[in-house]
Amino acid sequence: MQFVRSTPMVCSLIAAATTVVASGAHARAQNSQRAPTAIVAGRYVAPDGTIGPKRIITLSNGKIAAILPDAKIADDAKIAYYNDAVVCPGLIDVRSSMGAYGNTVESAFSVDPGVSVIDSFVPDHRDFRLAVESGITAALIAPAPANLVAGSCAVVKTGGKTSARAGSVLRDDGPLVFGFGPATWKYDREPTSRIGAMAMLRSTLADSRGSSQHPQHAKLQAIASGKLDAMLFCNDAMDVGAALRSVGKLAANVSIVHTSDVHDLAEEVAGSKAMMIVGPYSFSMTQRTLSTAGVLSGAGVDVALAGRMPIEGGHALRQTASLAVRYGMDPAKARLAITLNAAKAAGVSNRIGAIRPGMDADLVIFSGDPLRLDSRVLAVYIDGIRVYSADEQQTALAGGQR
Amino acid sequence: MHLLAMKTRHFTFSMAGGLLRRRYVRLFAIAFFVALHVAPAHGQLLERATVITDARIMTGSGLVIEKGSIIIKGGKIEAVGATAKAPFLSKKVAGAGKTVTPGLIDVWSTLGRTGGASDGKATSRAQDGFDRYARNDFREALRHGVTTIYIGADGGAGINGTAAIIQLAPGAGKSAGIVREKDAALCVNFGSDRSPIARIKTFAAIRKQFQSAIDYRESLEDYDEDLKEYVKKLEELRNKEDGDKKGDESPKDEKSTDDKTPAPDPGDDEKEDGDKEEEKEDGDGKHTSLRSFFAPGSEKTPLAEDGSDDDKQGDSGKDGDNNGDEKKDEDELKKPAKPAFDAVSHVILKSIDHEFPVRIEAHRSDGILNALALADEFNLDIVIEGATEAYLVADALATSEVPVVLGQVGRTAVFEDTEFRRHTTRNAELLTSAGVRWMIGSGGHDPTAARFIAFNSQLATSNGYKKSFNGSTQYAWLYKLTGDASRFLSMSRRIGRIEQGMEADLVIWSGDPGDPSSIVERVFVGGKLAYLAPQLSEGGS
Repeated sequence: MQFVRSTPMVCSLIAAATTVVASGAHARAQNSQRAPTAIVAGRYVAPDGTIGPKRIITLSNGKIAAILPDAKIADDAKIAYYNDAVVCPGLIDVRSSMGAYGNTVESAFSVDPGVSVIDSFVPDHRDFRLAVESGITAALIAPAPANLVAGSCAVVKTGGKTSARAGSVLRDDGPLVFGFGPATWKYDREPTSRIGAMAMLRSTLADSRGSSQHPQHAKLQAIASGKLDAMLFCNDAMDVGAALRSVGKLAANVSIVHTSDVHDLAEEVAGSKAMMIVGPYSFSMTQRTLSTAGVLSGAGVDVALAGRMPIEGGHALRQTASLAVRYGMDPAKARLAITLNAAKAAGVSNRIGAIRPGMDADLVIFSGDPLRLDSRVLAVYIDGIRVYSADEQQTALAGGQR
Repeated sequence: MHLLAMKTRHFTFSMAGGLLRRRYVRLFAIAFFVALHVAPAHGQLLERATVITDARIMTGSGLVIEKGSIIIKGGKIEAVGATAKAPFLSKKVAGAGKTVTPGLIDVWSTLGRTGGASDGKATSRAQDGFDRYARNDFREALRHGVTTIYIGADGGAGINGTAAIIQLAPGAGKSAGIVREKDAALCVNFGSDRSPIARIKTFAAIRKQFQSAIDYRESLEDYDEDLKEYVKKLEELRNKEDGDKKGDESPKDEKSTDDKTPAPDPGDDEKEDGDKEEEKEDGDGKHTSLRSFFAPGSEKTPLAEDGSDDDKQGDSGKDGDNNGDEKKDEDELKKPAKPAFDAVSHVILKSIDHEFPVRIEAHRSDGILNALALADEFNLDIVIEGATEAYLVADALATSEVPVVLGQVGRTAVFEDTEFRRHTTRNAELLTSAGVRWMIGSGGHDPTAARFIAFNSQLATSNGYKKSFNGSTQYAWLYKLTGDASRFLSMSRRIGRIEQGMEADLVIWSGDPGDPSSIVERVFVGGKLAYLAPQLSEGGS
């Protein structure tokens, strides 16, 4: 993994000073609380996943401007103080169907590269409010992987400038989803078997290399020529092997979504540079399943953890990370797995997933380490705007709303 | 022991044989004898204590001892604190850098439960469905610090039986689990998942069972009165007859055939019976007048077969004899018929007499309100289990001071048509602010979830749980699973806290127990090492 080095301290200090002065002049008094110019973080989740010391995070135009070491700064109404808290990049649920309305699979054809899940997107969906309360600021929504080529993913934010309750689209041309395993075999259309599926996939990719101008083929051409990311949904270890040997060799960035255990393939996956998406973890799972994330990341595989909201609740993402750590995953890697690695799998790591200058100011204020389930979400910022505050939310539910 | 002493004597006889020697041997034998007798007590004195040294101790009552020792002896905590000194020759467990907490208590569990659902009778006992050989499951639970579980008698809608409290101590052979309480609560399910009409029917049926238990008691009391009246009249008659002619044998005959019939002073007889009952079943003496009329079989546990069969036989015998006597001697006087023994009502009456609470699984607000009405009508101590929509009726719960037990906080809410459709992870938070007492367990549906009650409690308390644990809200989750849980289960004198005299159910964590990267290194249950982390056993520590 590579990280952009943080801006030298001196530059950031100057930049911060200008930011504070410039935006201070323009900000309206009533907005100052919701859109601060700086956030004082007691501790913060650093880009390497570890928990770093006190920092001042300055914000500008919805982006992170600078990360300054602890220094005396002028007391200002436009600065949000979280001296006892841990500031974390907004959590990303990399396997979600949040805001996707209706059936996201085209059942007549098994090869649908033209499908785009964004067409089913409903911005004003209550899932987003629950997500924000849980510290999830972005989600990758994928078409249901019940087809050989199921369509394109989208990446959405769970809130934004327009409304605190509505999602906004970050990217509508996300990775192309390929389905492997029994879910794609149907009796009423091809493929009907594992070997049939693999044969069909090979011929589909070969066909797309030709001179066809059909829009259906454009995305497959991009995959075959290594210009598009692919997300491969697998059912068991056998599917993972097949996925790596077919699309896995071609696509630009590959992530593998795997629903059961894959211990025995750890080395093979590590050699392929593919990102593994593991989870969600529940209290009912076996020791072997729960230790998958730890085993994979221990073998050098980049792991992203998924919460699968709204099939699971908003808690599931952090619960998955917590359980993964209890079953052997390194805590820093677990923090990356629900932030930066998830952003990488979604192809948006240039925008979100880490607290670095230039990144979107999507920040979650936790009362403690986000991996600890007794830590609480105190506030959530998306694009530099506070979209959730625990204090304000305290009694909102008392009326009986969910 | 006598045999042993004799043998010794014989042996020495053959060696030598003088009188002096014989006396010597006798002395030796006596010494040997005395030694044998003293041995058990002596062994206890010499039993090596286990000492956990220099650990951070979270006592389970809110207190944190930053650096202290715990001395375990005879299955109990002998001393705890910064100044506790290790006795001579004690086994030491290095606790520096580690945290010790009480064993966690799952107040709503299904761990080790087998044999399917209850048959829907109050006389069913959850302990009978507990599989004490489910060692892998117990090991997983111990691995996450769980040492005590409450398992309910689960079944369909209705009254399902009594719950058990089980300590996951190593048992005989390869078993585990010691039943600490066989009747911890009466388990009732309101069947929230069913249609409104089915639910109303269920509620009516449950209500009827409580009512019939009360009617049963009244009929026993009536019988009591009638019998007294009968005895009184019989006495009068006898006195009258005695006046007429002495030496009539008939009352004597009757006494020999039935020990429950008139003695010269029936009041005294009853009292004695009652006393015997009280001696046999401690804390059971609340309705001795009722119990005193049971056939001998009912003095055992009120299992349906035992009690009712014995009783029926007794009754039929009585009826036959009495009828004969009456026809012969007293035309007007008729012995009152004893009501048939009703084992189910006896269990229900115990809950009405507050011997144990009634746990009602209800998820929807209507079911919870029904439960409150039931509690009000029969003056019951109830606990609402599940309580998915408790936050909607929090004020009613607070007013009636009814506690709730919550299950999995992270339940998915996606299925719109179930009783969980209004589930929110903030239930606990809203109940707290309304002043409702809540507890948290693993939920009554997933045996494997018991191991994760710490995570579950953290999820529940993290949402702004305001009550402090040693001044910080951070360890509220731990308090809920230790000190508070044992109090809730009426076990607070035995478990749930690290204090002198409490049972040594202790968990040694490698670091902070709330940090998922901490592991459980050792678990003691009842002073015995019940779990040792594989990492430690490989290293040979």
